[in-house]
Order: sequence, then structure tokens, then C-alpha cells
Amino acid sequence: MSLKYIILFFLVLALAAFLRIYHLDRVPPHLSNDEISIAYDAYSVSKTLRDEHNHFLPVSFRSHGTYKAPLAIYLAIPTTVIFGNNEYSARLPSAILGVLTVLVIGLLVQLLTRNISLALLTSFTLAITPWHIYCSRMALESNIALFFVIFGIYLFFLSLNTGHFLLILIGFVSWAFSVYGYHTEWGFTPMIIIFLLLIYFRKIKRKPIYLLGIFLFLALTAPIFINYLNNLHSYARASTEIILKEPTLNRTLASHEFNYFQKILVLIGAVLGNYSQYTEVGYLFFDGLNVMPKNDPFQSGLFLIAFLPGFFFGLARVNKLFKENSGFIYLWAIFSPLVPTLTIGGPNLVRNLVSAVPYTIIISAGNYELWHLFKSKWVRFLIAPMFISLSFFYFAMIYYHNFPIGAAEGFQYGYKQIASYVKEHSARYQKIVIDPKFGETHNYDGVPHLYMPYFTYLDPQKFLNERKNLPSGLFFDKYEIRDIDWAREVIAPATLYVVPRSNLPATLAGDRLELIKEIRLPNNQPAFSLFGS
Amino acid sequence: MSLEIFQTIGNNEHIKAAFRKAEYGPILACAGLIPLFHFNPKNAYVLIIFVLALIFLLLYRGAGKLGIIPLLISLFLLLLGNLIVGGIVYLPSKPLSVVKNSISINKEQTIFFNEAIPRLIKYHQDEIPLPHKLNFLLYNNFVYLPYWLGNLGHFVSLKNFFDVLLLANVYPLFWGIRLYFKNLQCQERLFVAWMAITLVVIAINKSADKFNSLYLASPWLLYMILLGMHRTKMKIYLPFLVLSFLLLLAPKL
Repeated sequence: MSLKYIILFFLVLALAAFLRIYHLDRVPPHLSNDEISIAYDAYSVSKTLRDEHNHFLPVSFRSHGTYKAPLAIYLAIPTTVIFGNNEYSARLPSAILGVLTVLVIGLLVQLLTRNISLALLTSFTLAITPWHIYCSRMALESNIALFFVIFGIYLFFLSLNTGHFLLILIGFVSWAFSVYGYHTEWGFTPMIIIFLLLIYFRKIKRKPIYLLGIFLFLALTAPIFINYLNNLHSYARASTEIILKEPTLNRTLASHEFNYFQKILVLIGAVLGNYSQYTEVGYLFFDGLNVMPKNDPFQSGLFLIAFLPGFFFGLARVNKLFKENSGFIYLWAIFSPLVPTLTIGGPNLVRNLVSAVPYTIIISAGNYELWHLFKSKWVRFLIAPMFISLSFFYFAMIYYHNFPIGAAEGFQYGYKQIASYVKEHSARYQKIVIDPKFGETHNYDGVPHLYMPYFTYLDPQKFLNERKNLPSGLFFDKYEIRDIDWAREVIAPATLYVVPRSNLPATLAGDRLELIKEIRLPNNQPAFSLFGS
Repeated sequence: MSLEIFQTIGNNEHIKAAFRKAEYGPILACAGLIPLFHFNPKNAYVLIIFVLALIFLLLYRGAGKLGIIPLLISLFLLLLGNLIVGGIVYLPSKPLSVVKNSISINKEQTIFFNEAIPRLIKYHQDEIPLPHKLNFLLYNNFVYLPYWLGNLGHFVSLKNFFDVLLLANVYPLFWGIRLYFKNLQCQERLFVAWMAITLVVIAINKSADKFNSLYLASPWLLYMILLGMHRTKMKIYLPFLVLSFLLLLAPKL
């Protein structure tokens, strides 16, 4: 690789790092429901070796009943120890692995095509892809798992070329890590391994080290699957997320009106319908990112609009550029949405993140070919860069500017600000009562029992010792997390009440309550009010 | 008739060779079962307009230098037909009642009749604290373009094509379109114009119905499927074809 390309690669990585780390604490505007769970469990494990539910070094974190894959939490421990309890600690592992994914995708394409320009273009494309930027800027399990999948694939191809046994084994270890990274990879990683072993069987059949790699993968992933089987009855995820639980489908499958054959056909039809939604051009390029309210016409797709021609062109040109490896790229692209397709809830960009890589490769192949098709300097150096820049600027304004303002409430914005007040003034109060509901219509349930101890650095051991889950609410330290009915509330002295805007007291309860602070959303609407007695 | 026209107009050697190599047996045997090909649009005018458009295409073939006139008439008729099946242009359904009942345009069926969009453009221009000029640069009426393309993008889904052409036929359709565009420079632009008219009308339609919207594109789609048959592996195509027929029998959710 010449010095010119090395410098260009560094520039692309610097751009990827900038887009993933700049204002990481402000965009997204607040740690989300899932992020605070990861962050708190990392904090709790770092101090007590136990999660919020008092499980010792779990293989699967119970969280809010969603049973999170463990890797994201264990990776957040070092950053929590170094940087303390904040957004950077929670999100940095995902952001760093996101940048490394940009590097590895380039190395993979270079290995498969021996075309350094295409490799550079692929890295650049992923670096500015809205889908990958969005997922890298959040503490998301799927983004962490994605790195380990693609790193494993890269090492597999590298091992085909070099035959080095260590590369083979590290590749399988990386794939095993991906299974610990996210639930999609439970199905996706074994599928990719089978594809690779079948496609390249001729090259590997005389090398028993690959067999050892498979055994290593099975041995390393066995604990998570054994844990799953042992806790099958309590795994909320397994029983609620699968497509069979989709209400209309579920009713049809349970009905005695149809025979088994018809039911199987209905199920195939539902899966195909889901698959179609995941691969819709409108979803991929126009409004799939879902960072703006649904009726807003200013939307962003998972990829930049400017890459749409490249995607179509790339579909037809991958075989030219990737030659004997094109079969694998096509299979990867076709089958990557399969696991998310088997779940309910419509297209989900987090579950389907595994598709971002093959689609990026296809887009880059298309753009590379289009570049060579158009000989005009005007097109190459003015129109194409302008089109890409404009469409990136459009995404950047929506994502970095509008999204934190418009979507703050969905991220439970306000709890960090409340914690910051509580941390400073906690000594004044004997009790802190928090109504966990939030939102304009009082219909969302927040998780203040995680935000408060995390941002106030409450000792996790104290939280574990004192936590009481009662029908009336959750109690620990000075905190009472429970619904507040102002008509029945007996106001005790030295109590701090934290209520959402939807549950303000009609009067200040005979002057026994005093409005102390109002927390506002970034769009200046009120979110929470703090009253003291 | 339309296929015959397409065949003769498409005079590229690659295309002809592809047609010579292809195995049409299975597709032609079951063409009648493809949902789009036995679909009848509600409005009786559409069929008349369709036949007229094809007649003008035939005239175009034999008209020499004056061919552009029948071609333009044919494309205009296709546009009109698409607007009618899309519910954007309203014609009374009984042919002889046109005189009594006037032709009207149903604006509400188009994406342009969405009061929320101008309001949201104004909101973004005024409310978001960006430098004023920057706001106008980003938040303006150009948003209709991605909105329009997004609408089309949602229509062009595998599900819609599975439903109208059967699951198995999406496979040769892909190869047909690929071969067609690979040799685009040698082709008549007529096909592109035909496709473009259909797609533009779908894009501006607020709730395009897959059968009605693709009805006038059916010759074009069949042509592309037949064209793609030369690359279609029967080992893959036939099982999918069987599955497609079985899916037709599946109870609807």
C-alpha cells in the first residue's frame, strides 16, 4: 500500500472518529432506556461484580426483562472506571468499535478485490453512512457485535491466503464474541460461518485447523446457549419478540379453521412480507432512520440518498469486482435481514445492523463503477461530490441538530438533570419521591431507579442491599419510585417530589409544597418539575 | 400484441440473443395465473386507452420520420391511463356518461395535497434556532423531491412485486432489467419512457394500489421477465414457482 493510500485511510478513519465521537454526550440527547441499563450494570459490576438484580458476573443481563447480551456491558466497565459515570463511558466502546469497523471493512474489501481504491471508497462510504453513525453513537449491543462478526470474516479470508493457524482461531473467537454481543448474531453468525465453510470448502477441506476452530466456537458459545435453555421460562425476549407472537399471525396459527399446511403458508407469507419491509428502497434511502417525527417530511434514510444509484448499479456489478468472492457478498446481502425478519415490530434498524456492511459494499462497488463510467470531469469532480456533500449535509443537520431537540423526550431526557440537582442538594431531604411516568399523556414508564444511582454515584452495594420491589413501588436509599396521586398523597416534611409535566399538583397542597426547579426539554417544553416540602 | 411490438422495437443483438436462449415454457404456461395478468381495472376507459396507446405504437413503427407524433400520442395516452387507474384523474365509469359528468382531477390523491408539509416547512424555517439563511437553504420546497422519491421507494418493494407477479418471477425480472440497462445505449428509449411514466404517477400518488398502478406496465414487466429467462436457472426458478402458486392458496391475513 502506497503512502498516499495510507494517508487517505487515516483521513477516512479520522472522519469516522469525528462523526462518531463529536458531542457524544449530547447527540443522542440523553442515555436511552437500554443505554442506562448497560451503563448502570457496567457500573454495578465494576464495583460489586454483580448486576442490578444481584446476579454474579452474568452471562445474560436481565435488565428490564429484556435479557441483554453481556459483551456491551463488560466492555463498558473499563471506560466507566476511567471516565466515571457519564454518556462517554457508556457510549465510547460502541463508538470506538464503530470506527474500527470502518477500518476492517476497508481491509476486507482490499483482501477480496486487491483494489485499494475500492477498499478506500468502501471505508469512506461506511464512515458517512447514517445507519452506522446512528448505531455507533449509542451504547448498542448490535454495533459491538457487528465489529466482531466482520473482524471474524476478515480473519477468515486472511487465513485462506496465509494459512496461519492463529488467524483462524482468532477469527472463530471473534465470531464467538459476536454471539455474546447481540441476539441477532445467535442466528446470523452461525449462518455466515456455514456459508463461508461451504463456499470455500475446497480451500479448507485439507486443513483440520478449521475443524478445531468450529469446536472452539461451539465451546465458547455453549455457556450462553446453556444459560438460555436453563432460563427458557423466564426469557421475556424469547417469548415476546418472535414473529409467531405477532397478534394477527398468532390468531391465524391458533385458529382451527386452517390446516397445518395452510398455516405454514401463512407463516412463509408473513416472513416474506417482513423481509420485503427490511429491503424497501424507501426505508433504506429515504426515511428508515426514524430520527424525526413520523409525519415530518424532513427524514433521513439508513443510507444517503446520493448512494441510491450506486446501490442499484452495485447490485449488478459486484460480480465484476469481487469475482469468485461475489457469491459470498450476494449471499451475505440476501440473508443478513433473515434473523430480524423473524421478529415482530416492523423493520428495526438496530436488529438489522448486520445488513449495513454488505449493502455498503454493494453501494461502494456501484459508485466505483459509476465513477469509471462517467468520464466527464464535471461529473467526477463537481456534480458527484456536490450531490454526496449535499445529501450528507441534509442528514447531518437532521441528525446532529434536529434530532436531539425533537427526540429528547423519547430518550427520557431530564433524569440526568434531576440527578445533578439531587446530587448537590440531597442532604436537604429525607425522602426523594419520583413518579416514574413521563410524556405528555403520562403513558410512558421511565427507569429513574437506574438514572438516579448512576448519575449520583450511589454505591451499587447499597442499592443491592436496600432495594425493595413492592407492589406500591421501588424503594432504596432515600428514593421512592412510585406513582403519585396528589389527592391521596400525605406530604411528609423534607421530601423532594419529582413529577412529570403530566402530573403536576393542582395546588401546592396548602403551601406545604414549593416549586424548586423545572426541567425543560431542549425544545423548551417542560419535562419534569421538582417540588420540595 | 404489446409483446410483439416490444420484440420488434427492441432490435438490439444482445436482446435478441437472450430471447433465443431463454426457456419460456414454464412462464408462458402459467402466465395466466400471474395475478397482474388477470386483473381488471375498475374503470372501463383504461382498457380502451391501453389499446389506443398500443395502436399508436404500431403506427410509430411504420410512420418513418413522422413517427414521433404517434409516439407522443401513445405516451400521452399512457400517462392519462396511469392517472386514471391511480385515481388521480376521475372519469365516470360508464363510457357514454362523459358528456354529462365532467372529468375532474382528484388533488387529494396526490402527495402535493398534504397541508402538513407546508406547515412543517414553515415550522422548521421559523422555530429551529439556526442562522436564518441556513434554515431556508435546508428547509424549503425541495423536500417534495425526496418525499416523492421516498413514496416511490416504498412502492417498489419485493412484497408488491411478489403479490402482482408471483415470488418466482422477481428472479428473472431482476436479470431482465439488468440485461436491458446493460445495453441501454443500443435500445429504444421508448421502454424507459413507458416505465418512467408509470413510476412518476406512482410517486405522486398518495396511496398507489399495486395492481392498478402496475396494470399499464404489465407488457413492460412481462417483456423484462421473458428477457431475464436466459439467465434464470430452472433448478431455482421452478421450486419458487411452485411455492408461488402455493402461496396464492394461503389464507389472507
